[in-house]
Amino acid sequence: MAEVAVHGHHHHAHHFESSEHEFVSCKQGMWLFLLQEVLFFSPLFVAYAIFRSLYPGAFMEGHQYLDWRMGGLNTLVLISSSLSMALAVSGAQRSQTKRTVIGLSLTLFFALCFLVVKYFEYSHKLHLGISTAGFFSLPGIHDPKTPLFFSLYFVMTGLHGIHVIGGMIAIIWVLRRARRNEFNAQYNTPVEMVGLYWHFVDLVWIYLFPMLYLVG
Amino acid sequence: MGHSADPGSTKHEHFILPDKLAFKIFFLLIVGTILTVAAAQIHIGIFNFPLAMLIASIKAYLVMSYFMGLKFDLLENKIYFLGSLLFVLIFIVLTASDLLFREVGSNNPDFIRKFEGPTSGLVAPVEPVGHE
Repeated sequence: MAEVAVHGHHHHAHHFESSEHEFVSCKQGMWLFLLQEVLFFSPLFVAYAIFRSLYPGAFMEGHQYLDWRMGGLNTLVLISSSLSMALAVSGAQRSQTKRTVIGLSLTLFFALCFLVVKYFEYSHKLHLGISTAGFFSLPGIHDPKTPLFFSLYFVMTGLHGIHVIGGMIAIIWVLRRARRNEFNAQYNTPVEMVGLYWHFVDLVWIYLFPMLYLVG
Repeated sequence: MGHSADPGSTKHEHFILPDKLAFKIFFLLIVGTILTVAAAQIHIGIFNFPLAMLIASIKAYLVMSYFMGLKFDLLENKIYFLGSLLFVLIFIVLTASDLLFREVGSNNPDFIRKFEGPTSGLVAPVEPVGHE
């Protein structure tokens, strides 16, 4: 029969042969989920590529209403959050619980910073009358297709923002478990999986920043 | 599929990102961000966007390979993720080749008018021929 491997507090689920088997399966599932996430975002990237080539003037005009310093700041914030997440994951893999807790807390803090910056950006735009599609009411726009750029802006950054919030919920979940000392060198799968998800959120923003804020 | 489904046969070492490498990647990502902003200030016409995407892709490679550890992961996980990126490319190329070149040579100005904004740069109006 299958051996009952006991690593720390964690028993692998009965349908896995070993904790290694469980880990590899989890990771495979996570990568399949991330594959799906790429495809989930892909229609927006297709729409961006097509509409940008059709209406370059609208993209030029639209991006001038975005502050690249805000987008740049958020890029630095997300890169920092990726570093703190990477350090939290390697901490868990080395049974350094304190480091995992600090790393995850920092990541959560950076995620919050990102959302605060985004909040100021959104509220400023909505105040000006810059919104999606039919709700667009900014006067003095020269290109009739400029609202299209902002529809893409709000949907792309909005979908990304929802992922940031989802990531924060996942981080809170592993942070609570890390504080209960549930992770160590033998068992740290949830920390590593949440880490993969968080880096993916960073990955999307790496593209969104130049696409929306720095239209050349 | 791969060997991962065989229990016991996967006693490989887990990759743990060394701290020094983590900080090095972080530093390179910061440099990449500064480069992205700097590259947007110089105006090289149609090359601005490909340059921005190239820098973004180098940054994405660093995050993917080291922070996500994909470089040290199983081959099937690499194929899943890189395969999804390949499909994004296929979606863009197929949609563009259809939409942007649908009417080339078919002398139908109605289509062009429907999609062409006043500042459109790519789609040149197709002149109707045979009306002389």
